[in-house]
Amino acid sequence: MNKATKFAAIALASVLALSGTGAVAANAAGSCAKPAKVTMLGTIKTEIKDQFLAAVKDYNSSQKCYTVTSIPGDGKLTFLQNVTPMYAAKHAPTIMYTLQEIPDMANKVMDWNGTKLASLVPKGLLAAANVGGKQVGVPSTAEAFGLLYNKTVLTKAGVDPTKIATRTDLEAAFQALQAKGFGAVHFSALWWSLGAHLTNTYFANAATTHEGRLKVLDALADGTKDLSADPVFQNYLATFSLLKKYADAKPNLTDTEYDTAVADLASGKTGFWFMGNWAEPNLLTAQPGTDFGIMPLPISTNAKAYGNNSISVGVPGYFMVDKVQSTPEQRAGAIDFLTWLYTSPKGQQHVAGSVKSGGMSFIPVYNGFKVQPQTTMAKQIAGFVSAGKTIEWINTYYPAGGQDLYGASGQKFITDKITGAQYAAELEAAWKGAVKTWRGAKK
Amino acid sequence: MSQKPKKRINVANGIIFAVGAVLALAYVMPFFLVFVNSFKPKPEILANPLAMPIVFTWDNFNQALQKMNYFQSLTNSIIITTFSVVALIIVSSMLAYYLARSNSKFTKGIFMILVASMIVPFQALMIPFMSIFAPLVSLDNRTALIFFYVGFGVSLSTFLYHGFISNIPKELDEAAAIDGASDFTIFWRIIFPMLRPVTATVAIINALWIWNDFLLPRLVLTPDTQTLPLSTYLFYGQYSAEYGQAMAGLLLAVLPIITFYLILQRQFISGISSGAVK
Amino acid sequence: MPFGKHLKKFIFFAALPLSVFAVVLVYPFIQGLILTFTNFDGFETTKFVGWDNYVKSFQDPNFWATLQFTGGFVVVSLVAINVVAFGLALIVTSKLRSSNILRTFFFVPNLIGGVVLGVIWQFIFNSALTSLATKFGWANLTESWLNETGSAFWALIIVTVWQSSGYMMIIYITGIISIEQDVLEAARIDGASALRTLVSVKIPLMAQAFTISLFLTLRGGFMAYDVNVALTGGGPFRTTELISMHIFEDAFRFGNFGTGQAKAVIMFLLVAIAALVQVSVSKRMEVQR
Repeated sequence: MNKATKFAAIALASVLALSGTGAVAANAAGSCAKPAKVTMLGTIKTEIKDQFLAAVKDYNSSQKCYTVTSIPGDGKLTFLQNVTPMYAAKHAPTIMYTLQEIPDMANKVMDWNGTKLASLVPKGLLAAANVGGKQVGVPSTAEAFGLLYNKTVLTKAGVDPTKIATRTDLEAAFQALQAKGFGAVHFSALWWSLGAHLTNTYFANAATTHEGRLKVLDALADGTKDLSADPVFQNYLATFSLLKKYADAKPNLTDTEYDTAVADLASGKTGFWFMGNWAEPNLLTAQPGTDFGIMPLPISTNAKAYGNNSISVGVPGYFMVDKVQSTPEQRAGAIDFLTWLYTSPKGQQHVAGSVKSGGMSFIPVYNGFKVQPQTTMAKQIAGFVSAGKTIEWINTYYPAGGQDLYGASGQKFITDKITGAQYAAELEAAWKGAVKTWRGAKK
Repeated sequence: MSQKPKKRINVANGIIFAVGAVLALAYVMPFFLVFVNSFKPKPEILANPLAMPIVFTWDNFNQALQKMNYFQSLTNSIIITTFSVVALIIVSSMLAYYLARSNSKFTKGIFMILVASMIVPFQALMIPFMSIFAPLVSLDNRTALIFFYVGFGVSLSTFLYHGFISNIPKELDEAAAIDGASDFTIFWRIIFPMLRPVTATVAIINALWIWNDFLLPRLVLTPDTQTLPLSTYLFYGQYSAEYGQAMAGLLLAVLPIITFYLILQRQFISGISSGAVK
Repeated sequence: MPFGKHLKKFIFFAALPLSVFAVVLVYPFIQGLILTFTNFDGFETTKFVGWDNYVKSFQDPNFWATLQFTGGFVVVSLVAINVVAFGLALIVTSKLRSSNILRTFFFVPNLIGGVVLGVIWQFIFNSALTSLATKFGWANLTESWLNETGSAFWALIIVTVWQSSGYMMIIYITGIISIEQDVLEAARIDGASALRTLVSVKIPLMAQAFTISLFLTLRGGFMAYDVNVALTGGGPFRTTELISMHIFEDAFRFGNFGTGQAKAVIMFLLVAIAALVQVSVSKRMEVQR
């Protein structure tokens, strides 16, 4: 494991360990000069929109200085597509939340350095939102993706997920499931899942160091990388084909896919699903009382290969606060809201409390969290993190809009519109000429 | 007349009626689907989208009303549509009167430009539009939007008025002018009242367009000022998995305009048909 | 008329609307033309780049795919809408007692904006039809039509026809009603069959209605955006983007404001040429009758 991820992992582990100790003083209820209206684009993510809005409501009634409102973003558009017209029309939201577009926003948002929130986050988890020394954003949570499974189904088929160490083992597990009449795996043809998460299993495994992986991105941007010649990419492609082959249903490219997938895994129609822990609340709502777990997606046939026993863990997004179109009061309100959310007992309840109790079920990344998630998946992720079995979210460094293109190519491959070789060629073409934002280059 | 052809006509009418009825059913089916499903909880919708609700619930409506800021969006839509349409009627009728009466090369040229502008797609203006009008939009985006609608709608409305005014004899204004009436009086007291049928056309065609417009409001409006189609679309995008709520939202979105149409049906149809022949 | 009085009249009646028109439409249009020759990035321009944006537009394979898709959509929707609308108009004008109710029903979809219609139909294609198909075992419909480019095209056509045919129907009704009863009576006395009357008498006498309706559907086809966004969103994988949506995506999603605007100008030229050709052909047919 490289330095950066190792650091991030240790940092995360320490947060998890620290939880329950060190109480954080609630933010002082100071007087406010001028009441301000604070806007936030979106609700962190749509899966927990109701829970987030409940937190906003709670915050608004907890003090009199600021009123936070969430502006619904257009879910079909990317972050930049939503934000650009708003900036052009001079009504930018005060709080924004994103990941890959952080470099694009760096000179429009404030520096979090020196704020209380930033001081509570382990440095490793801040790194992805640090642009040339400026702390552009603060993290929301940590998330992991890999193969989710329905424990009940796996037990019935005699499959032990902890024994699956290679791609060959995985195929055997799929066959065991099918032999018992279960669907083997649900493979979601969602563009973001294919474009950002599945591709990450290649890029995260493409080199054993962080710098090595960035070099792969460099080569792709320069147009000098031949993906087909890379054995890791061959493994990745073989895994992609394996998931395709054992998929329990024809690929569904429409908006109903996520819902269908949740229903399939929750009801026990299928054993595995390539997705992330953010789906756990949805699964538990659909089928309360069932155990849903997460395991690595092994792409190599060699159990010892780098990353084969690891899940992808990272920060899914960072909060940024506009500084070019907002008033000082609005900025103060934005900081106050986020600080309240992550440090006050009530806010923490909203952040880490179970979905059933109205919380967002986030894995805490700030020191001093009193509320800890209790679900199987969250505990498993903590276990992977403390054992150092994590691979990087290199998708954090994808150029803006890039994952849309890789996702579209993935959708073509999953529906057999193109071959694996054409898929590789399309990825190369999409990367070629990308501005190296991961090296701090400006568009 | 013999019996036979009459019978044949009856049979033919029967067939036409049957075809018409089936088609009419097909035309309202989607609305029926939205209607019945808006009262059902989610599992029931998935189980059978065509059936009447077994468990009847108002909860979908409560949720949708609140989450899509229904009454605020409705008010915004009404304000924006009303002001834009009234402004368009005033300025277009006057412009059309001027163009129809002063028959010079200059006015003919202006009229040609107005007509030609009707084939300019909004996409050709959209990109420069945002950078040009950002200051105006940030000042007051609702007023800005009404201003834009007047700009975009003036050509068609003037065109419609122009056709109508050309058929009003010029002697009418001349007689009034001899009696000492000012231009203002002539237009507003004599001509404008005669324009009532075409005013109805202009009002209905523009109201339908502005009420349902999506792209321009999407670029211009903020959450406080968003119109019904905009809030419906954003609400649906976020809650499409909550089918019941989404359906309730859609029903709420189409309700005002359908009610309005059923009340003023005759005016709608005749307005559009007289607008079409011009 | 003395010039002073003329000027006064101009200022009173025309100055306000014409200046709003100039500011909102003419100025951005010219500005847009200029922008296509610069390196505009959505915020500022720093230099002129000649024909670069046009060259890049035509080198973009997605743009060619979009043009092709749009062309197909315009032709098919134009034919389908007008055939259906004319058929509806014939039904409604045949002396049925229920014709007013039928007319009301046919026109309803037209009242609703494309975005709302689009999401209603998205629900129908993605959820309602698929769940019915699964229940009753209709093999061809268990998969959403929006899942494949080919069927998504037809989904777009169905929704567009459903939406627009009511409006065009009104135009045709107006055309049919305007035919004088004497002419039809004469045809009947001559022993012309219903079909013969339709083809040789009714259609030629209402050629103007066809001109208008064809023009409106042609223009509507090129400019279709709302239904596209709300129904298919351009998917699967950007294969069902009509030209309007393609321009919006190019500019606001991928930040290519230069090529986006160049494509918009190309779109304008296409619409203008198609409309001119259609109107002049239709007019000639009106005269020839």
